Amino acid sequence: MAKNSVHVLFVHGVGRHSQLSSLLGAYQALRSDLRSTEVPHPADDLLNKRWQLEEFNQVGPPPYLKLTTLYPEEPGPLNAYIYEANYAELSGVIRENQPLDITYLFIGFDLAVNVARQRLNRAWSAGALSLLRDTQIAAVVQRLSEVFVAATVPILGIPSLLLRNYTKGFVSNFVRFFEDIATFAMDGQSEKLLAEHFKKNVSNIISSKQFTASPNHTDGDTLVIIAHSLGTVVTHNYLIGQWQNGGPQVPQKLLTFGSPIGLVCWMWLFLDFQRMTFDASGRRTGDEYFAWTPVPAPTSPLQKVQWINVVNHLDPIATVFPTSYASLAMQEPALVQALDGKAVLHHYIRTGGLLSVGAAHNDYFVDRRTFCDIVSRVAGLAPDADPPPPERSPGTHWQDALLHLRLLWWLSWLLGIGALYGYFRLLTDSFPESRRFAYMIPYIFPPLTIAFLGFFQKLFFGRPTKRTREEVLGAVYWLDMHSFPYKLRRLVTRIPIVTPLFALLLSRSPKVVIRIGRLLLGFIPTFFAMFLPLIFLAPPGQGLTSTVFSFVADHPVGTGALIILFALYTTAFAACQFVGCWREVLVKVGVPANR
Amino acid sequence: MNLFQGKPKKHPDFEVTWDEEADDILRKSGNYTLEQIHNDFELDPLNRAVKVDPDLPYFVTPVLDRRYSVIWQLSEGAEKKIAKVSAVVPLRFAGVAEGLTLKQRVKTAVQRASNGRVALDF
Repeated sequence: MAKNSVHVLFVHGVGRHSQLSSLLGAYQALRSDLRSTEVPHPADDLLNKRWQLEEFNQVGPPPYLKLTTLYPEEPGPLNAYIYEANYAELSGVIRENQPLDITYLFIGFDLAVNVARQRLNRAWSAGALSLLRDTQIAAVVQRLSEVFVAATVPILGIPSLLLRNYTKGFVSNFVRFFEDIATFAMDGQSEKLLAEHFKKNVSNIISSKQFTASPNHTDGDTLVIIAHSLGTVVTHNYLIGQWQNGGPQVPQKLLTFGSPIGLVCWMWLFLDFQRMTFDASGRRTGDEYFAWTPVPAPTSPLQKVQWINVVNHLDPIATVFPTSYASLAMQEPALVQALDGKAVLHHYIRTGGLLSVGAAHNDYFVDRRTFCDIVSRVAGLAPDADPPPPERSPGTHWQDALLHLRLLWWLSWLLGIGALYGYFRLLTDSFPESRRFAYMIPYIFPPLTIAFLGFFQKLFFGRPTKRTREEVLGAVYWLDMHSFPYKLRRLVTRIPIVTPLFALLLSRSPKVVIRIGRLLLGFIPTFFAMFLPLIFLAPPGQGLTSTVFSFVADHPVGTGALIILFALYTTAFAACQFVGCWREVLVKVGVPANR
Repeated sequence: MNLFQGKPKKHPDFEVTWDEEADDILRKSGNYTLEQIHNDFELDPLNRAVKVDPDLPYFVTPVLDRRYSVIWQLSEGAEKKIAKVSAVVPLRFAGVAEGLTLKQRVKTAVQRASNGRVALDF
């Protein structure tokens, strides 16, 4: 680390959207224990009295905090500037101008996965045996995408609307998360806006009066980028761009944490390339899902970077990725020359146990012993020379992950079964217990529940998209349970009267009516699945529909409770299926604990 | 601090004394910090300790997850070894400082941390 100054840029992922949030968040986490409910005490200050805050510049751009060492004789920088690039805030502005429909986003993704999966299967059947593992992962990804499609029923549909006072925080985060991903991955213009914004931020730092630049990173100031979550994807994109252009603004150190780079790179290869092979020749099929343009391998020598990636236990977004993903276009021998330590260095931490899965993605700074130590070292705020605190081994990390995911599967299954039992108890109060259990049987299998909800969501809303055209849709198989509803829908919409009738209805209806109509339509299968057992209560000669409506009319409060319990059941089963697929992906990928 | 933990353990072979100036430096960070550092150090003064200089009886021991360093002098008592703490500084003394020996670094750091009130006899 150069003796002058270190400039640390924190790059936000999806999350809070106020300016300065990650800047102060990171600073506060180093100086106090954010999990403690006591007013911060000097004993919790990891920077001790070695560093003092000298300047708080809120104007920027970008805003920064300047810290100065009180012990200039000690090794390390004299000053540390901490900046932030708030990617999520900018993305929020973009999506405010053009909101997306999440149901169609998930269905479009599921459709694209269908197309890519079947293409991959064909390649494998044609003899590309090396694709076996990818075809297996693709099959799990398909089921995972179906979970998202199915989850839109309880999370975005009628149940959520009825419970909006209690669920709007969760729903808005859920929607926001996927909107932000779509903004950077699929919306080419927005991706350029964000990339330019990021580039400008770095450029502003490097050209600022407080930055002493030096050619070849030798004796000038040090640039460090610390990125979280989707911010790591934006940063990765920036790094590739800089390497490609022979740009001098490559950080000397890069710390990524909670990074989906492994997932994103695999998805890009899977959805947009033949046989999972990166092709930067410029040939396009026109049916690409991602908005990104593959760039060829750089020809000029690369600026070196030390890249550290940190993964928290049970963080569903964080991935460990092969070094080759640092630049898909480059051959690995050339790439490793540009990486300090000749690889991306992965570290494993654990901030919580079994139930930390919801918080693990945002809890990195809670780990003051290991993670904050890594941050302090990378940022030059602590000496990097002595041995780091003992870390978790990859084997322990993945062993715990596989075990906890199995336990989480059972926990969410039991939660779903509990809600289901409460539901049936309320609905079939007069039934003997044995009969009630018999009716519950078809409902107790998460894959079946999710497949049922997903099937109808796809059937109702699985239209061709701008990324998966009618022709592409025509080529997917009938005899495939995941693509069957799309084919069925396509067949139905080809009946001469159906499409014109729908077009007429849609053109004559106000937007709000269309929206409510869509929500109701999406809820119909769930509604009938909910009340199916009532068929056995129906008086002779009375059909299910009239029995259901008379039940609803007679028990309005009870119906509300039933909807809540059923929504809880479907959400728990969606979580169960999600966790099951997640575990399966880890097994297929072959994480160390599984070898 | 765990109230149910009982008295903190001390190393049986050491008798530790703290100079008033050393405690004064620590009190700036609060008595809670002072207690934690006392407990951590008195558990084992030689844990990861480094000699300041081969010819001097002074040691530097990192404490509290290596966030602080205790500078102390070792001498032999009648029954136990005596660890006389002179100062505590918020540094790790890791790596190599250009042109400075560890002895010089420690001396300078102690002077800074104590505002010149502690003068080490080396």
